[in-house]
Amino acid sequence: MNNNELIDSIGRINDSFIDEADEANLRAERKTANHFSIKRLVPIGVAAAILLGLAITVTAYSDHILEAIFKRKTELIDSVSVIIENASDSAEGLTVTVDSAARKISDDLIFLHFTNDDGAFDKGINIGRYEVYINPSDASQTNLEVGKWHMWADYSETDCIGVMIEKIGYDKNVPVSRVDYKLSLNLISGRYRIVFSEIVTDSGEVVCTAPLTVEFDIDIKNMPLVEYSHNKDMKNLFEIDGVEYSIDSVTFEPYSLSIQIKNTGNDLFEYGGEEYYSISKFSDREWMTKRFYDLWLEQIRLHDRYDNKVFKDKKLSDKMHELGDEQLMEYERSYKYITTSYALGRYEDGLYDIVADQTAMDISYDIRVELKADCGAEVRKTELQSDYYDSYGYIDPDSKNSDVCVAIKKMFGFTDPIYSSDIERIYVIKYGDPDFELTVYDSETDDWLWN
Amino acid sequence: MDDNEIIKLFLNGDQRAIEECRQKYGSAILKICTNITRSSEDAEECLNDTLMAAWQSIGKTTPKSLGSFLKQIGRNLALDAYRRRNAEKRGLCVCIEELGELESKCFPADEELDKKELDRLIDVWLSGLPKEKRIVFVRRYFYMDEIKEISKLLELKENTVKSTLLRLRKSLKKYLSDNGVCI
Repeated sequence: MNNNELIDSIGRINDSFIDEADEANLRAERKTANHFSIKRLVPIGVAAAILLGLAITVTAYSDHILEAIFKRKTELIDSVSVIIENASDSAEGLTVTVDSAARKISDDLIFLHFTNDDGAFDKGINIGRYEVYINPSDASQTNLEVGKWHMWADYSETDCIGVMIEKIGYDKNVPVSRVDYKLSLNLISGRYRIVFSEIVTDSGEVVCTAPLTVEFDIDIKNMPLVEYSHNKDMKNLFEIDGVEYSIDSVTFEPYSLSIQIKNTGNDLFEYGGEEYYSISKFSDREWMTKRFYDLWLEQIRLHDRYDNKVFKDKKLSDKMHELGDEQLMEYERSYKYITTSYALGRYEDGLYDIVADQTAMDISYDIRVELKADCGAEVRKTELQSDYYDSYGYIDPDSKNSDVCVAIKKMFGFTDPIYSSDIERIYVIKYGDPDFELTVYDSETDDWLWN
Repeated sequence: MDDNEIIKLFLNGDQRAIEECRQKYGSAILKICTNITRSSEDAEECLNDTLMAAWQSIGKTTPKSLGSFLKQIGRNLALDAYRRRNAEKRGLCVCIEELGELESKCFPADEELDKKELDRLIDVWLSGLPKEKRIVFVRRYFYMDEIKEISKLLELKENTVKSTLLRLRKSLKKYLSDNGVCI
């Protein structure tokens, strides 16, 4: 077979592809494209219509949004991704294809999609469970034994916490013949095996009876990182209730923004007979008592010393971690927690006893990010990050001295990739005061975020 | 005029069909032919030949999409003209050179491949692509658009279009290889 035959064959492609790519048809087709979520776009379009007081077309606005999403995804992610394109079929005609992978400064990404031989997934699709196995090929990247299979991740699409697999631009009300997913996990070089099971429709009907397994190879050595930026030691100050805070550092990558807030004065407040750090008011689940926070910080410092300075012996280091964890649990059992959003809790017999506490919630804050409407993305989730206990807070890893100040680091995940310039505003709210809103960054007037 | 009405004109032997086609699809066909031949003179000739070919073939066959049908004829005629000219070394179409990468590295020149099977494989491969990437591919290798034109049309950086095309070519090569086309 020669080049001419290939060129000629492309000349005989399906009429629909030719029409689709025709410039005159392009825009009209995109208006009705269901590759992205129409559901998500409609409220934006409706808001615009109300604002203008005109019957402007929602689809025209959506078209613009779709182009914005495509442009960002192509430029920011696809341009540094590696193509995989390994597929596997089920007996029922369901096909999973692993499309590509991209490396980020935080977790890495695998893009995959499901197609259905019978046509559209008119009843939606949900993955009840997926397991990721790795057979590593490079001992320098992992402690796992090379050449053997190891469990890498085991989750459900519907997990509330730790969701790692997400549909991209999916609306169960719009039948599509292809459902795209983004899987977040840390990549190392080797062969991967993903086993999808309990695949059902939105109404719970089984789509695929046997587990669907797909395998593929990834070599991370030559994979570039998705572009990111990390600005630290910023001194953007703001004050709430007489306490001075600062946005100390930001880490931006197309799918997320992390913000670290510090209270250099280590201010305290009292609640229910216990002392707490003021920074805890930015923690959206629990306030750690000062006593526990201090112990926790000490534990991190100890761990840090084990890891980086004293113990290079892994077995010894593991043993010290174990002892440290036991000690921490012992302290944890003896101290009280307050959960700002819902509860006053105490750890007893392995369970947190939750008691509603609206007052605690009312004096708490939340920091939020607003994106420019025309970027097409939305803030998907926010979570507190830490190097150690999730949701409790964050210690600056660069501060090795005992005089470290307390800090909170919060991560905002986006539905679609964005440029840093798509961040419109960062602001703080108080749960107990609907009139309070403090803008700490405004893209129209501030430039400190990226300088 | 609606495509069905134009086809009726063809079927009735009404020569107004040719003028209607020229008005409706002439510029698009001319564009494809120019992209391939790099000669407005040759492209104009291809357009006339396309309309003539349509006149002779509609009746024997009824196109599902008149626009695509005419563009396919125009593209084929332009490629014939290009090949004749290429033999005389009067210039090369870059996008055809690009696809040549696949030939030299991938296809055994002496192996006969069923055209219908190759057409089917390419259709299946295209159908599995995200729409936007498919458009990039078809704009480049069916319409033979310049990178700059695709970049403008889709509001993408030229480098992004180039890298997308590179990935698509690799993907097509792998797909054909996996399906027994490549050695």
